Amino acid sequence: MDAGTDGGRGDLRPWGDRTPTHERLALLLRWATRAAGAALAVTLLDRRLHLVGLVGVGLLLAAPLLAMVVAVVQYARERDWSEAGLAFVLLIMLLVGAWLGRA
Amino acid sequence: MTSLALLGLGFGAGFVGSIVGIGGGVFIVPGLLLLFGVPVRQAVGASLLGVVATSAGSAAVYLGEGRVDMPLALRLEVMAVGGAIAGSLGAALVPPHVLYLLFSAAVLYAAAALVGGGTGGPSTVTGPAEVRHMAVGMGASAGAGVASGLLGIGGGFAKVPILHAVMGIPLEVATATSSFMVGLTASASAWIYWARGDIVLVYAAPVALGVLAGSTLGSRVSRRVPGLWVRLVLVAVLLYVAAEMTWRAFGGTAR
Repeated sequence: MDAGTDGGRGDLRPWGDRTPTHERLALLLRWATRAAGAALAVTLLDRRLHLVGLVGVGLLLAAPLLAMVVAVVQYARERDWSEAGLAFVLLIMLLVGAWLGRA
Repeated sequence: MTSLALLGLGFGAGFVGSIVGIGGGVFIVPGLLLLFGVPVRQAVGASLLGVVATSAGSAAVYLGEGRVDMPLALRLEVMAVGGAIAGSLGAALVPPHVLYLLFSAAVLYAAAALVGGGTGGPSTVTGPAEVRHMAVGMGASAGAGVASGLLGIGGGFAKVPILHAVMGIPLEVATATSSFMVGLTASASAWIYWARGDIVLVYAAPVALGVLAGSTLGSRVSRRVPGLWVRLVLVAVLLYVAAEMTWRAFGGTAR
């Protein structure tokens, strides 16, 4: 389980352990931010390339969703079902929120 | 020219926000409203995108250092994302002058948090410790989510003191965990604003890019900037913003 915790139910928690989940999420967010930043910069230089800007916005919006997908997969691989379940619930909530916005 | 000015606004908000640790949303929305005359819901949409960008950038660093308490973040975010969805959907029904008034209250709270400094727990990780008052943390997360959805702020200025002073999380873990959390909360709201057409590329793109650059630079120089003076200037600015937005709420110029 991440950082040796059970999610704040009054147990002792040693912080600062870097787990594979931390590392994979960090990698995902780092590259999503770089790619989105580059796409937004291109749009700023030439407004005719607004499609590239839309890709940048899409990347930023999708990054937290992808982070939850990574968390679900990683926690499931570690057989940490409570964290995997929570990440899955969050993923569903984010998707439902996006769907509600369109409705 | 306007794009450059918006880039500058985002950069300034990201820079000072990361230095004092309260994020940039609380500066972006009033900046867009008062300086550029952007309609309130589009200002909130642009700010939310900026918050997601800042969070993703800083959380990548904090996750790499293992400072984010993932299990705690996931639990609190279930409440925060629920609140953000409710707040975002509710924002379409709330008249602009009420949003101005609510934002004014949020800005005053941010100013108070800056003055208070949010102390009360250990500042660094010193070993195993106990998380307290989980129910309070979950309630506060839901409230911060609603505020994020309504007003386009990340809510870090509320989450960090709650995590640190109330729940007993070491400050460096609280800051890192909050950075990760605000991105999830803001993205829940941002998707809804995007679907409604309230994230307009011409405002949102330069602001998000500026925030990204400003917060990156701010986090690197934060140890060399005299924090007390920055705090004092920001409190003065926030008080002015609160007064201006309250005046607009009652003056009938809100859009």
